[in-house]
Amino acid sequence: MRYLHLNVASSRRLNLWRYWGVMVLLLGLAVVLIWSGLGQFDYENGLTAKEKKEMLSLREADRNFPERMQRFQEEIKELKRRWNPQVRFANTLISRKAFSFIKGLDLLEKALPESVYLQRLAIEQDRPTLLQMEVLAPAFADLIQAYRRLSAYQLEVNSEVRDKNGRYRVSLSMRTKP
Amino acid sequence: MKRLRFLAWLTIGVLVAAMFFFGVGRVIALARDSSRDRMHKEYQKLRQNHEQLLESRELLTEWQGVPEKLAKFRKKNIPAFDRFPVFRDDLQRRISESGLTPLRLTYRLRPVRRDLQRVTLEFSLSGPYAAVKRFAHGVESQAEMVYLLSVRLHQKEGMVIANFVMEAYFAR
Repeated sequence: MRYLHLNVASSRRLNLWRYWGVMVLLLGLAVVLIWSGLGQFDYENGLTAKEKKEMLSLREADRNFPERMQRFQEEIKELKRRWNPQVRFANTLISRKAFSFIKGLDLLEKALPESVYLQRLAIEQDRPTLLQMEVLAPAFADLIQAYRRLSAYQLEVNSEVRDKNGRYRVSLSMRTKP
Repeated sequence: MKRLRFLAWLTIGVLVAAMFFFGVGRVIALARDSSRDRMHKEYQKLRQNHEQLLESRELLTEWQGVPEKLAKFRKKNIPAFDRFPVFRDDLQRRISESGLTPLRLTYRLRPVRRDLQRVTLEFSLSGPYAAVKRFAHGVESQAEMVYLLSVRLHQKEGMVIANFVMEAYFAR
């Protein structure tokens, strides 16, 4: 069998410009690939020397982590079971001791107009923010002024009675934390 | 012509070698990425465990210190029941010093827990408003675990009548 060698080039002469152009392009591509390949090798593995050192000590400290955690939790639970009621009791006493009736009285002295007289007052630890009182106002204008001042403290008027002398006897409650 | 052909093959060879080099580099980089991620995860996990351990140890130390703190609290704030007569005399003295007139005084003594004695005092005083306020302030400033439970004031014939409920704790 004989093979036919056909030259299908448009010209018998080699186009040197095109040849060198392709060569340069291919070499350029090779350089880019080698450069990128080198870049891949030149890669930090993410942890700094300090972190690596820390990691070694953390690994050392992490030995028997679940057992140690469990032991701590059990000890805490036991201590809580034993001492928590006493801690709660002490905290209740401290919060009761910290409560100030004087502050409630001071607030009331500032909030009530001079023309309105306090007749009764009740303050209790169990409802520490609530002040229940009865006041006496000589005229309706004084009463309205008192309402206006006390309205910042969630004022509730429970009864308002006008006596035979024309004075207003009012039972009301207010909260010290508006 | 032969030289040019050789040069062409050589360039293609270099290109293939470069592609291979790039590929190997890429695979190594991916492996390193994965290893780095694993290390970071392990590092974070170790840190988290370490912090949990520290927190638990701190909490444990705090709870271990509770009995001592409670003992100090009791020693400082809760007097022995032997001090009750002194406490009562002190209350009487405070009342008279405030310029108030005692109207009635009742006690209730109840054991609380195994080691405490609660004394609830109910008393009424009569006098000027300023004196009542001074007396209440005196009770609030007292160092011992004595506090007012409720204060009821009402005005009668120009004087204030104050009903106090007070609680005090003593060690049994």
